[in-house]
Amino acid sequence: MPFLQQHTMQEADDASLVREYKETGRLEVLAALYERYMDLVYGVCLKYLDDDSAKDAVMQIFEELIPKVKQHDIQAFRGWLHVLARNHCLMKIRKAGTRGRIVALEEDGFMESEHNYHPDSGNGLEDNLQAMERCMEKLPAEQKTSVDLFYLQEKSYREVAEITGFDMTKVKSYIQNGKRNLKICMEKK
Amino acid sequence: MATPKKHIEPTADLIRKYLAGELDDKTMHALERQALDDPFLAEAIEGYGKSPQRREPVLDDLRARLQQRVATPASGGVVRRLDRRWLAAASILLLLAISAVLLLQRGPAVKEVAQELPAAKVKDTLTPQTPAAAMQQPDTAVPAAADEAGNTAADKAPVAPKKKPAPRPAVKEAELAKASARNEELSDRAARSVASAPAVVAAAPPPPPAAALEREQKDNAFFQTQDAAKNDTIYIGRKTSPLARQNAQPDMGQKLEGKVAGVESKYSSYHESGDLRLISGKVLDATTGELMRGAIVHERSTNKRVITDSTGTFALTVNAGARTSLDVSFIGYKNTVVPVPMDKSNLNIYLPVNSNGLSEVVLTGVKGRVQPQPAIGLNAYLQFMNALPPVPVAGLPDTLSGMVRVTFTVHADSSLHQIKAIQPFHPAAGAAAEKRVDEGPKWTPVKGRKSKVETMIPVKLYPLP
Repeated sequence: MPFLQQHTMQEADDASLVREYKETGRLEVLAALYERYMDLVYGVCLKYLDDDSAKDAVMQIFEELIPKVKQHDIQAFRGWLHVLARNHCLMKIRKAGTRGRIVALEEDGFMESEHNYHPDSGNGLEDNLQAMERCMEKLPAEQKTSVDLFYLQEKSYREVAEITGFDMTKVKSYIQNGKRNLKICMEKK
Repeated sequence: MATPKKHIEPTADLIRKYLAGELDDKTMHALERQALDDPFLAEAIEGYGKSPQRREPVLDDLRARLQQRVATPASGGVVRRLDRRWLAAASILLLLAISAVLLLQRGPAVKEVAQELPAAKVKDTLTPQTPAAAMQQPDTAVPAAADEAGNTAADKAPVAPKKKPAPRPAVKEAELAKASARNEELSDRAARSVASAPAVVAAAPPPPPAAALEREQKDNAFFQTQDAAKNDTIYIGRKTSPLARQNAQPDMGQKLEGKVAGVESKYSSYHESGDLRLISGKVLDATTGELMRGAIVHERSTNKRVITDSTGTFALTVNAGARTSLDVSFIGYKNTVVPVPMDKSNLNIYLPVNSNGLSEVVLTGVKGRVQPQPAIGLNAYLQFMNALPPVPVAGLPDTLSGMVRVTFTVHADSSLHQIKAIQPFHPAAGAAAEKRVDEGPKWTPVKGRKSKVETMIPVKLYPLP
């Protein structure tokens, strides 16, 4: 029986696990859900905290979830958990009073995924493709090359760097900026 | 773009392999692309990227902890209640441990403890008829019996017996004490009995130590009397109110004066009790010579802190054998470290004013957050605004000019939105300022994000003829 439960939990999507936990209050449901993202949560904590605090934070965040998942109306657990985990770490930093250590809060970092642009949804697919090509032409050369290699030819950062001779970090920012510029250009058209 | 998205499950292991370059290019690309759309993953990769360490063992441990957490009998509530019980138990233990440690530590230096609560004790136990008695009376639990004992003892010597469970032995001891009181080593002996007191103090629960403390108090008062001329304000402590102190000290002096008559103390300004010596002094403002009340004096060898009283005076005991120094601090003054020479026990400490004043307030900005700037530069922008002609307004009684605060947002494509004049001095000025910003020089955005800007726009109005 426990195996069966485990199995169904692994199959279920986030939303139904959230619902089940809200209804039953069973911690193992929440734990099964949390385990899916534990690697990511730990990674986020590692970004802000030192190794030991990050490990502790992972458990503290779970404790925080216990009441909060019940209280909040959660649309997308994944994004919600990300914000919660990051806030937890930032609060910890603030409490520790680490002077002078400033963490950039990218306000629209989270927005990016919400405003995910879907060029192939809707009717004007052909229009979109044309617009896209036009916008690509407007991009600065480095961004254009990088975006082309990455998105259209599906090369990894490393390969892009090898082909273009750009620095890895440069490649990353070219792709990020190129993507952003494309989006702005597409929205304007 | 139409290729179906391969979703890969980003585990710590995968991320580490990715960072180490162990993945094939297809998987790398998939992960990179996923990270571009998923800030959660992007941040996690960043976190793992901080060190090449293997994180799987930690995660295995975390998983085990999570399972354990879930497996804890019953959920939430009980666990928490249990936690609270543990907390209570732990805090009680901690409290006990701390008090034990404090008592043990204070043992050899009971004097200070005594001085913290002298007035209260004296007031509580002293009756006008037998004040000295009460002072010497160690066992507050049996006032009557001890009173008698104390009286006898008090008549003969100021040195009190250690502990008096019954009056009989007390008298005996008092007699012993009397004999020794004839000795010139009186204060020394008192001190030694002080030194032997800690055991009693440490072993007994709260009320009995009070007895020992009181005796200490007396002892202390004794040498204070000797010092009265020099240091009539010696005082260490926090709890005694100044009023109580005023009441207590002359009292003690009177009562003890007679008792110690004829016994000359060798020690004029410090008290040597084997391994302790008293340091006292005043803290003064180096420029004005003013006495400073409330300065903090920190003694390094024993890590004690005392605060100067209203006459700028402090006193504390230190280990006699040790060289020591005092850290003296007061807000707005430079922290001063004063070495205390072995042969000196009365110091005047001058604190220089800290010319820097209080530490500056440091404003920090968030990294990467830059304000948008006018494309032509801020100065040119303001010059441009200044050069604009005055605005005619119908029905205006006289020319008006001033600055209008305007807020707006600069979008990533450098378009301006939500341009709004804040409380303009005239509605027409507000409208003009908004228009000027809207039609004025371009702004360069902070790359890729919209940000709010606040600026002052000069506007002149003149009456329309």
